[in-house]
Amino acid sequence: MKASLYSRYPVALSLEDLSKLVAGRSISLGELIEQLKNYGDKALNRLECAVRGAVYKPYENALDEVSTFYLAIALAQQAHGWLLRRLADHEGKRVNSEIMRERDDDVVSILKLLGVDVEYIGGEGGCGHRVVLGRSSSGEVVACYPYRVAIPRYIKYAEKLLTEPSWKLVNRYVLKGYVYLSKKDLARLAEESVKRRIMEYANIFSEQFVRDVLGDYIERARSLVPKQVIEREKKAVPGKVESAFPPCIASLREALRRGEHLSHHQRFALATFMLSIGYSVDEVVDTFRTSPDFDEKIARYQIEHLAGLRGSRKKYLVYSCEKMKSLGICIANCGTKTPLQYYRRIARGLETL
Amino acid sequence: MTLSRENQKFVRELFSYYYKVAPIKLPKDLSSREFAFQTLDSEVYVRHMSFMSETEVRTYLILNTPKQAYYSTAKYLNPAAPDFSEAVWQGSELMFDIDSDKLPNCQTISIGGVVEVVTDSCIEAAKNSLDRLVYILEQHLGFSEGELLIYFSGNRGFHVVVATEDPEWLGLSSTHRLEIVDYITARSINIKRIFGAVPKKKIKPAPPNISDGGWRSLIAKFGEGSEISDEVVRKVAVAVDPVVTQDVSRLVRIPNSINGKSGLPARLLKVDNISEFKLDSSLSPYDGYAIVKPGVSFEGPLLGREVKLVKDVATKVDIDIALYLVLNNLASILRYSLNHVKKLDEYHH
Repeated sequence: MKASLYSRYPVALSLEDLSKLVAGRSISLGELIEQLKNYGDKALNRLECAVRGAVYKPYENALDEVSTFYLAIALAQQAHGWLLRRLADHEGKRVNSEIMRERDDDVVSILKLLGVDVEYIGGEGGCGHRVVLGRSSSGEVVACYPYRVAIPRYIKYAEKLLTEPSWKLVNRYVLKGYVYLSKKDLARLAEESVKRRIMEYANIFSEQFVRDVLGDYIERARSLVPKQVIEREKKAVPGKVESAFPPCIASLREALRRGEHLSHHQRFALATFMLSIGYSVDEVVDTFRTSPDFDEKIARYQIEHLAGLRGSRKKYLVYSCEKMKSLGICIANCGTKTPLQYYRRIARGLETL
Repeated sequence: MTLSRENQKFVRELFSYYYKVAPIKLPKDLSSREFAFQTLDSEVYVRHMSFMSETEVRTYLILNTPKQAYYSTAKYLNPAAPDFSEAVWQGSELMFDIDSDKLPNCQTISIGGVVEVVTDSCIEAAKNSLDRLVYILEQHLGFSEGELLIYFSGNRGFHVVVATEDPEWLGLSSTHRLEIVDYITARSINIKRIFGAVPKKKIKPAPPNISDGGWRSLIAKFGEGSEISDEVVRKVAVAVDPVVTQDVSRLVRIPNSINGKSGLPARLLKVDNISEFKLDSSLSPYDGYAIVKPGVSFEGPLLGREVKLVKDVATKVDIDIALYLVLNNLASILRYSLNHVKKLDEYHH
């Protein structure tokens, strides 16, 4: 094992391989966490760097570095969602700059370890696919694409970036099944992959026994979350609190439970409301399962449409109270302009009880 | 609206003769596909069927003469399972749909205010779109001609199914497929980034070249000279139906099966044949004539011929025209004579 490689890219060593490295054999997650606990202070230091945006100096020794990395994920997962996202972001950016420092032809094998499969086409000159961008008085101005990746892979790797115009496939150099990329692009894809992996690992660390073993450290990690973040969280509207539904929406929800038939407008009102307070498409589809004419395919199609995933991809807004009145769906005077305002008020109130 | 008994008998006989010789094109792994049919009598859809061989499918078509016949672009472990999760999805082929009556410049003709018939203008516009789509699929997405099932829908447009075996493509989710749709329809295109991406203002951007990648080559090949504008991009973009492409459990018409809205087979085309395609009698396998009693009056072009119908006046027409009218409930069959059912070329290897 090249120690230096895992020092630079701890995410490249799987949790299973780490357990073998720690104990010389495969051990349970519980045992591994017990072992990793010894790195508690180092992991906290790593988290602190992520919070402050400070430069993190990795350990030369791969075991120390990888252990610290995984323990930091476990602590962040247990402590606070903000901390975990911050850590993922920080680690992703770190890998991004590491990749930029690698030799052009080494990058591909490193990316493979991070789960990103690309091809180096740099050849001798290192330019790879050469595209003439324009002409100046001194000659041609060219862009170089030393790498390429199969289109379906690109879409998966860049999934979270596709909302940015520069990452849309339509704005990319696409030829014969491949998207052509620069080293900078590759570094960004690596960054995304690291973030994805950290989130996946975090899921594994969400168990209660992890909390029991790491108790004090989790508290110390939580204290790293800035006060403003905690305050903002308190002000945020809690999602999916059914007891805070306004009377009109609650009665539609009840009618469905009783297996009653809802009109088109009633369905629209209930579905758009639920989607806008954080229910997923699946959850809304499930809500409609008791409808007498329920057809999962049709229901899903329509709900996805409302959620802005289909057709014009416009997310539909919840009806105003005025509109609800005109449709005869409004059943009480809530003193708000929209059912959402009512919900926010009540849900926040419930939260502070 | 369902067909009268006499009309049904006529349609059944014609469909049944055709399916005995039809070069229906089925996927190699047909046992992992869901099959679905619309019945001729009650027009209900029979879903979640599975077959083990082409002979089984053909026998079903000959005996049941369905109005429409489909299979899934999706491959399943249990294709006959009624529930998507029980069926166990294994991936889906890519599917594109070009509907001619949604294209600009398409003039339709109404028959009795009941049916809108597309004219040559629509088919020509759809063929141009199909040309560009095939170019994108081959030159940009990297599929070979052998992977593309290109066919006339039998009525108003064209379908392209990408019968790839690449698990990366087959495994794309619905959201991922939208990215492909956006590429083809040029949604969110950034002209400045693609055509003017020069590091300094003093540098004159190079004109797009056909050997370039991405949208640069599309504009070079299909654009209007050196002009680059939103308008040109809109003309070059292909208006594929996004709902069809993003649906991973889509049913597609069996290539070379009969479209029950027109009575015409959904003919497979080779890339080289696209430009020759015409919506006329050559598409029909039937040779013969029929005496029909029209339910509407109409005078105009239909399937490449001038047709004149007067309501309730018995009229002699070619048998494929009779089939079209009967399937659309525009006429009742009085007598017919089927001379011959042509064996169509498969048009595709």
